Amino acid sequence: MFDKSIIIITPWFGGFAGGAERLARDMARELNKRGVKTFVFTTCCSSPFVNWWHNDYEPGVCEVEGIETRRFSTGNVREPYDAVINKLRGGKPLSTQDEHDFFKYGINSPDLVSTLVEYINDDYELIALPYFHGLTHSVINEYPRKISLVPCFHNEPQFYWNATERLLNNAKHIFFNSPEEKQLTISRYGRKVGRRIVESVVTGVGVELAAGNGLPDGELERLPESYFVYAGRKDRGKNVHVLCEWFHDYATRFNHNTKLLFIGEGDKSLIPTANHFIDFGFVSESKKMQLIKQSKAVINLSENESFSIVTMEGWLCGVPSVVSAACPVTRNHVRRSNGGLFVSNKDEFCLALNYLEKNETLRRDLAANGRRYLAREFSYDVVLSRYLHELAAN
Amino acid sequence: MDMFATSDSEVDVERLMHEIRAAVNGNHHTAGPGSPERLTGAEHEPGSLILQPVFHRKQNNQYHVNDLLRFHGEEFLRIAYRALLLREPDPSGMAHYSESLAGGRFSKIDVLASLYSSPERRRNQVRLAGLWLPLTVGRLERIPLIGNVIRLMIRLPRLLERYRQLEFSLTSQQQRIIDHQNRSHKELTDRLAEVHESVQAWMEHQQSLDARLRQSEETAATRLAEAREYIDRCTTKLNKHIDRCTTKLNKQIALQDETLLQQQQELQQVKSQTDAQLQQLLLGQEQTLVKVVTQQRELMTQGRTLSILLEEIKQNASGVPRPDLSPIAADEEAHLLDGLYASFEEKFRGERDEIRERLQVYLPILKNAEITDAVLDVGCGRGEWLELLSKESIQARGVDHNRIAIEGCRNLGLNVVEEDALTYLRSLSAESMNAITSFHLVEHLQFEVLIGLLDEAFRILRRGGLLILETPNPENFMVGSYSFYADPTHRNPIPSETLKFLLESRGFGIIAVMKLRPWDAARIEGDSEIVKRFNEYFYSAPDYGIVARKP
Repeated sequence: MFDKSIIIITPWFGGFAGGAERLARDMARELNKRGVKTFVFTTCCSSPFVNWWHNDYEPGVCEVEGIETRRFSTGNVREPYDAVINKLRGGKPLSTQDEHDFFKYGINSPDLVSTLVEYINDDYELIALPYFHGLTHSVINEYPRKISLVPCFHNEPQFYWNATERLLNNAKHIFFNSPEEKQLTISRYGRKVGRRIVESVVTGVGVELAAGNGLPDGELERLPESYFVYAGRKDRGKNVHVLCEWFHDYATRFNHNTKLLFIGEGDKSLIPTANHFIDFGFVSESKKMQLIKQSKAVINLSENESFSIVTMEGWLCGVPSVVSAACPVTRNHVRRSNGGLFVSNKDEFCLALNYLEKNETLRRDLAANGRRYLAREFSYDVVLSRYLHELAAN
Repeated sequence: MDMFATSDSEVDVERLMHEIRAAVNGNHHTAGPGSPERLTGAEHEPGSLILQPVFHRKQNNQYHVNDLLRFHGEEFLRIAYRALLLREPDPSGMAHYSESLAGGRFSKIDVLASLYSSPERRRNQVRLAGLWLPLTVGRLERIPLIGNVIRLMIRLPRLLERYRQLEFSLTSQQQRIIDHQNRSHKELTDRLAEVHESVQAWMEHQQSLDARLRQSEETAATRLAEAREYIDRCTTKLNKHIDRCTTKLNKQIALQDETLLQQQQELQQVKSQTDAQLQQLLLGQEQTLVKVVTQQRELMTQGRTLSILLEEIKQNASGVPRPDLSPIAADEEAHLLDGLYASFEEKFRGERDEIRERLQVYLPILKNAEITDAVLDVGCGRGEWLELLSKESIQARGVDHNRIAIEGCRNLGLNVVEEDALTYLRSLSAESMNAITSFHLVEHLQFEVLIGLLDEAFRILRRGGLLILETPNPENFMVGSYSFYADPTHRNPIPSETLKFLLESRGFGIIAVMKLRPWDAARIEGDSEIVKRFNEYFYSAPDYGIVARKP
C-alpha cells in the first residue's frame, strides 16, 4: 500500500482544460478514489490564454471537482516574458537569459515555490507538470531531485532550450506519457543527461470514460446528420489551420453535407467561414462525449502530441480516430491499436474520411480495437500502478 | 459490397493505409476521388509499387475495348479473363496467350477477339464494344501485299502515336518508380536514423551500464577486501580478547576453586569442631542430667531422713522417749546411699534396652518349664526382667531394697515391693513360687546372707521350681581383676564352680551353667596355646548364669 500523500503541481487548475490540466485532474481524482490522498497546488491563474498574470481566483484552499486544491498568487511581472515572445515571433535567436525570463516570468508563483519547503519530506511525493510553463521549472530547480516531473514534451523550440536539460537533471523521477516522447528525449538529451532518461518509466495517461458522462440520445438538438469532430485547443501548433484546409477540400469534393465540429477554446480566427465548419467552443465533458459519440470519427492532425487524450476519447465513445502520420505519438497509437487511420497528405485525408463516413462496420471495428487498446494500456489501474510503483521505489 | 478486404474482427490499419495510398496514386490516372471504388485487387501486397491501373469489374458486364487495352503484359491477360470470362486464366491459356504476345504473333486485340469469340464469353453475356474495327484492320493487314500497304497507310501514323504514348507512359512509370524508390529510400533512411539513434542511445546506455557495472564490481571487490581485512582484524582482536578473557576466567575459577576448597575445609573444620562441641555439650548435658537426678534422689532421701530425725528431736524435746523410732532411723540410714547406687547403676549397668536384650536368654527356660506365674525377681533393680515377663504374660513380682529403683519400677506399672531381699523371702510361704530369679545380686551379699537366701529360695519354691542366678564371671581376667571392682558394693567375685557347689549343697539340682556373651569379636586369631589361653582368659564370657531346680 502506498502510504504517502501526493501533491500535483500544475500552473492552472479548474478553468481551461488543456491536456496537462486534464492529466493532473484525472490523476488526482483517481488516486483519491484509490485511497492515495492527493492534493493539487496551483496558481490563481485560470487559463494561459487570458490574463494569466492576474489572480483570477482567490489564494487559499478550495475544492475543485472534489479535489482539495491550494491556490497561490501568480507573479505579477510579465514584461520580460512578452519580450521573449516578441523575439520568438520575430524569429530572432534567444539568449540563455531569454530562456530564463521565459520561464521565470511566465505562469509562476514564488509563494507556491517557497511554501513547498514544508512538504519536502517523507510524507509527501510531489509531481510537477508540464515542462512548458515556468512554475514547473521553478519548483523542480528550487528543490533538486525532490520533485518528480511529467514533462509532456513536444518536438517544439522550447524542448531544445538549455533550461530543459537542467529540468531533466533536477527532476526526481521523469514520467513519460508515451514511448515516442521518451525516444524524442533520449535522442536530444540521452548523452547529456544520461541513463536516468533511458531508465525512466513510460506511464502513459489514464483514459477512461467517467461514470455519468454522456447525455441521453436526443438531448442534443440540431446536430448535422454526418459530421467529424476536432476536440482540443484551436491553435496553429495543433495544425488546426491544416485541418480546416483539408476538410474544406473533402467537403467540396466528396460530400457537401458533411460537417466538422470544433470543441474547445482557442483561436477562433483559424476556422474559415463556411457551412461545413461548426465551432461549439468550450462545452461540458458530458456534452463533449455526446458530440463525439454521434460523430463519424475524431480528427487530430497535430504533429506535437505527447499523448493526445482526445484521440483516446474517440475510442471511448465508440468512434475511430484520424491522426497525422507525421506525429509519431498519435501515429503509433493508431498503429498499435488498429483503432484509426493516419494520413500524410490531403488526398489520403480525403480518402480516409470518405471510407470512414461510408463504412459503419469499419468505424465500429476500429473503435472497438481502440477501446481494447485503452483498457490494456491506459486504464487508470494500469497507469497509476506504474506511477506508484516508481514513486514507492525510493 | 464491403469496400475493405478486412474481416469484421481483424482490421489492419497498415493495410488500409496502403490501400488508401494506392488509391491516391491510382487517382492520378483515373477518375477523381469523387467515386469511391475498390482500389486494388487482392493480389496487391501492402507497400508494393503499383505500375498499372486498377481494374474495376462492372456490374453490367459491358466494357469498351479501351478499358482492357490500358493493361499490359500478363496483367492484361488476367484482366481480360476476369472481364470476358469472369474467371482467372487457366495455366494453359495463360501460357498460350503469353507466348503469342511475347512472340509478336498476337496483338492484344487478337487476344480479346479470341476470348470474345469463345462460347464461355457468350454464356456469360459479356459485351465488349470497339473490337470490330481494330479486328477488321488486323485481319486486312494479314492479306499478302495488300496487307503491307494497309499496314503502312494505317499503322504507321498510329504506330508513331503509340510510340509517343509509350514513351510518355514509360517515362511516367520510370518517374513513379524513381519517386517510389526515393520515398522508400527516405523512409528507410529516416527509420534507419531513428533506429541508429536508438541503438546509439542504448549502446551508450549499455556502455554506461557496463562502466558502472565494472566500477561497481571494482568497488565491491575493494569493499569485499576491506571487509575481509576488517573481519580478519576483528577476528584476531576477538581471539586475543577471548584468550585474555579465558585466561582471566580460568584464573578466577582456580582462585574461586581454591577459595571454595579452603572454605570447605574451614567449614569441615568448623563442623568437626561443632560436632565435637556438640558431642561434648551432649555429654555434659547428660552428665549434668545424671547429676541432677542423683542430687534429686539424694535430696529426696535426705529430706525423708531429715523429717524422721526432726520427729525424733521433737520427741526428745518433749521428754517422751520413742523407742519405736530407732529401728526406723536405722532403716533410713540404710537407704542413705539409694540415690547414689541408682545413679551408679544408670552409668555402669548399661542401657535398659541392652539389659532386656541380654535377659531374653532366660525366657525359653521358663517356657520349657511351663511357668506362667508365681515368679519372684529378687533385686529387681530398674525392672528390665519384669518388663520382659510382663510382655510374655508371665505374672511376676520384684523386690528391691533401693527406693529409687522401686519408684522407677512403679512408674512403669510393674509389681514390685520395697524390702530387703532376705527379709522378704522369709515373709513368703513355703512352696509358693514357681521360679525365683536374681541377676547380679549374689556378688553383693555376705556369705552368710547368700546361704540364707539360697535356703529361703529352696523353702518357698514349689517342687520342680527353678532358681536362676546370674553374676560376673571371674574366669575372665578383666572381670575378675578389674571390672568387678568398678562397683564398690560388690563383695566377692563368685566363680561358677563355687556357686554351683553352694546350690547343690543347699539341695538344688543344677540344670545348666550358662557362660554368657563371650567377647568373640575381640578374640585374637591363631591356634597356638598362648593364643587360646589368652583368648580364654581375656575374652571369655564376662557373666554366667546358673539354672537350678528344686527336686
